[in-house]
Amino acid sequence: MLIRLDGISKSYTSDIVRTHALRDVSLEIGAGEFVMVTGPSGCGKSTLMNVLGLLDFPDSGRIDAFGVTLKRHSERELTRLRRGNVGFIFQSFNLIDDLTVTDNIAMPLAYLGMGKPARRRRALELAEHVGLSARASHYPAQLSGGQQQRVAIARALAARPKLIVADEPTGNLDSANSAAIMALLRELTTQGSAVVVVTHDRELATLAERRISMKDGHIVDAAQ
Amino acid sequence: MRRGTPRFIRETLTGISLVTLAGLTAAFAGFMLVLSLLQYERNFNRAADPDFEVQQVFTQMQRPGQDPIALEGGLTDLAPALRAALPDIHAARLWRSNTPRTVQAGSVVADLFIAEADPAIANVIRFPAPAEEIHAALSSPDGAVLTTPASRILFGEPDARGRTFLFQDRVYRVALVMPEFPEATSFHRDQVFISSLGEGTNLGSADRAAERLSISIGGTQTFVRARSSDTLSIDQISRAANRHAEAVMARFLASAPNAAAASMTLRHHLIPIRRLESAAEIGASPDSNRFDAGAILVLTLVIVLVLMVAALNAANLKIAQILAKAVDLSIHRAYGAARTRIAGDILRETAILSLAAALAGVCLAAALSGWFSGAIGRDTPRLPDGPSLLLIIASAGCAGLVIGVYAAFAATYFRPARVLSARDISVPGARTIRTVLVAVQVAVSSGALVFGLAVTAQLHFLTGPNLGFDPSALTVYRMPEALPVDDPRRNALRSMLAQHPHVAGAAVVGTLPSEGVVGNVTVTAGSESVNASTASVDETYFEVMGLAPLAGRLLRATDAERGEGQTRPSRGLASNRLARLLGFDRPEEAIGALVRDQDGSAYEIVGVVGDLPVGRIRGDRPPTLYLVGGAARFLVARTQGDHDADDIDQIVRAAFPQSPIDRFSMTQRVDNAYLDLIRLRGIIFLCGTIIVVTSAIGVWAMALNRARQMRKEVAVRKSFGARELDMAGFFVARARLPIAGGLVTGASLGSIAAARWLGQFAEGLAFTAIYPAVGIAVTLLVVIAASALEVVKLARSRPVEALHEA
Repeated sequence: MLIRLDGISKSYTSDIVRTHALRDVSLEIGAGEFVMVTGPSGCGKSTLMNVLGLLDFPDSGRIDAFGVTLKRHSERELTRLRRGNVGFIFQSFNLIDDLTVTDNIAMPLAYLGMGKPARRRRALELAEHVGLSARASHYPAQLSGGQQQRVAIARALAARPKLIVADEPTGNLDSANSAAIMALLRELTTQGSAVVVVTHDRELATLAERRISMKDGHIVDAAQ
Repeated sequence: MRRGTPRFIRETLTGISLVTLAGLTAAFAGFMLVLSLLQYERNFNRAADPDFEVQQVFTQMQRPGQDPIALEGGLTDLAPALRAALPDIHAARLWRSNTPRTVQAGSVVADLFIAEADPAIANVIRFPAPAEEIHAALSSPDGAVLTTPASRILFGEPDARGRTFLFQDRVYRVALVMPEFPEATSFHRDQVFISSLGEGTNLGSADRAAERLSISIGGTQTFVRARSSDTLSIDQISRAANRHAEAVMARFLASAPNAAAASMTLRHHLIPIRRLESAAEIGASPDSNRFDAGAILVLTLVIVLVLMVAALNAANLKIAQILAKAVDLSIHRAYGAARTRIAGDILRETAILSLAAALAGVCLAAALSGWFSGAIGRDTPRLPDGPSLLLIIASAGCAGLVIGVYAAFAATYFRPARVLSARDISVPGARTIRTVLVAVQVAVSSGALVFGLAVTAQLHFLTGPNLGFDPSALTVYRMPEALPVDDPRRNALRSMLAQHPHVAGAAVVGTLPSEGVVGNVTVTAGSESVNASTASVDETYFEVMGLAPLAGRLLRATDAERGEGQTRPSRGLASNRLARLLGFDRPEEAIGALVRDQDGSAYEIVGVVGDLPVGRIRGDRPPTLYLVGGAARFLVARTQGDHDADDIDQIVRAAFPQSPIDRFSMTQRVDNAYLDLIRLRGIIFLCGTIIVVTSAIGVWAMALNRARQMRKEVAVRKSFGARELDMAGFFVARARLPIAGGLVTGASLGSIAAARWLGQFAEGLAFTAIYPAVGIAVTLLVVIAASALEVVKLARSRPVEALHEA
């Protein structure tokens, strides 16, 4: 078991409205699992992903992640746990415009204390793996949407994380690119990483061995 | 700003807008105040000479092989000589004191500005009263003309005609009271004109000296005006004046023994009183009522820099606003708005903004004009005249362009398809432009600090212990009459003062560092011949001034005595500079040396003292020969402990029971001498502070903008485990180029300006690396302080929020 959520609740207050994003959610993710999270807009998928990716902390409930029980919200502790353990793939890619493909991929490795030559070697290896070795020195603005998302996947893989969290990774891609990206993500699980993907696309969701459906902050269906 | 822009950005940009606008308004206010000073200078003496007709005669005196000396006053008898030579001109003389003098009317004692004037002055200068009345008033030997403020001060009423007052032991009658000059002139608001025809006036004494010695130069100011510009040119008047000078010199050379040694050339220069600043071109000091020309230049440059920094800040803000409105503008473009229209709207907006700031600045300047007039010691006009207003409008237009031109370009560059679909709001050069804007602000800050530090250090040097004496406890009494060597009151005054418990020492002298009579002699020792100043002092003078000899001894009363048949020379002290110029490398070598003046009189040097100002605090310290004797005009006392000035006044009053006490402090004289520079230092530091604060706002805006740009990137990096410290370092790495570039450029330019400014002082500090070092350090601290909050906020930001906004 990589991460376990037990009775997690999370709400947001904006101006006069209080929104309950997660209500008493319990969930376990094991190594090598490929999990799809689906549900309508506003059901709490993204909040669940943030909590799973240790970007956010719940108002109540318990989190056991990577062998550590998190009892209170500490940004520093969350950052330390994320480092090397969690990789992120964002819907809008979130590549750094000023960095080349190689530098974008190598970025997480810098925070693990890896030397520059080793970082570069690893980045080139991943660029080749996602089919972008010819574009290694290009900047994000010079790439297509599919290529940018492949860079984002390579970046997520760079530190060999135990958990990869992908929020609508194909949301901005056409169907051909979407299929290719999903295949790539599925392949990651064979290397031992757990992959959790949020998607609106019910068809894509069928590709996963485990599907979680959410509604109004609750998990309403968890199918294997 | 579009509703989709995060609220914190909207709020912060609004905050910056207000601060930036306030900064621009403050900069325009400062600019307007400096313009009011320029307006004061431009219209100076307009009230006294509305038609550009009046010339003041300056005299340039040159001895062979030496630099010419320019004098504000010329030959004493020039005016009558010109009237005789050129019937078509009006010429008149003035003698005036640039420091207030003590005047008494009944029980009222006041310090007023006194000018002795020939009655003919009424025909030369335009007074705020009919010329005939002025002429009639000054034609009476005891006649005086007062301005209304002077009348109020002295008599408590605006028109004191017929009343009398006491000045220098003489009674004057107020023959006329006139309004003050409506604009700034060479005369003061509280001005008193007394007739030059009276007994004991300086002009009368000068006339008598001219009769006796054939030549008398200095003190007397001569003003001329042609009756008609058609019949007489300035050249003709100059030629007539120079002919008179040649005749006087010829008479002098013929009459004086060994006069050839003092052979000199006199040349007269006519300077319009509306353009007295041009007197500096011949080496003369322009009117002391005018502001130091160098100070004005520095002030103008500084305020232009302030305005530039404020405009750059506004430009930076405008670019940020346009980038934030990219989606709105693209929607307008998508619906058919022309680029020219968008650019025109932005430029119009910035022009209006700039004009509004300028207008607000003019109003603020009008409100601050009283304070500004006090700060610079000049009655500057409250409201701008036509040329000043035009300059303000033109500057506002330029500022509007600076603020809006790149923002307008950026606005027209957005491609609706790219902005609306891919949120691509990149504009070529935007980052460079904004980086350069910040770099310029940092550069101006560090440059201004370097220059300000140099100014402060130099002024401290000039007004501090480097004067050569300590002015702090020196009280000076100007005596109502000159006391000759054998006048018993000299010793009586000194001994009475010496008994006073709060007087450490007293001297009666003819020359002080700040004023008095300074003679000129050509001193010869061996083959060396030096043009030197002479100062009449008494034997206690140097002790009172707190000076020990560098070599030899100080003066004694017997040093004035000559032996039988003048075989024994007088004894004197040489200043260190005189000793060196005479060829004595070390002070001790000059002791016992015999020097001679152009008349053949011999002096034995018994001691060498440090270099002091003579007759004028500010300026070069001339080689000086100090002699015992001569007529004493001042009583100097070094006081000690807490004391009541009235106690010492009683002693002086006992010696001159009929005259008001005319006392001043030497510290005050030193301060007055450097007043313009001291005020300039204050204003430069005020401007420097405004520049630094404005730049700090600019750096804060840059930090905010960079933080905004980096928010998503930082969030992504933190998602992958970056630490807070990594992020702070990352931010510093991004900002270091404009900051370091600005610091180095500004400090270099500031250093060049400071080195040049310091170089114009004969006495003073050399430029050292400490100025740029301190300037850079302070600016860096300000930059760090201005950006620290945003850096910390960025480093501590939660990635989940930034990613949500992205």
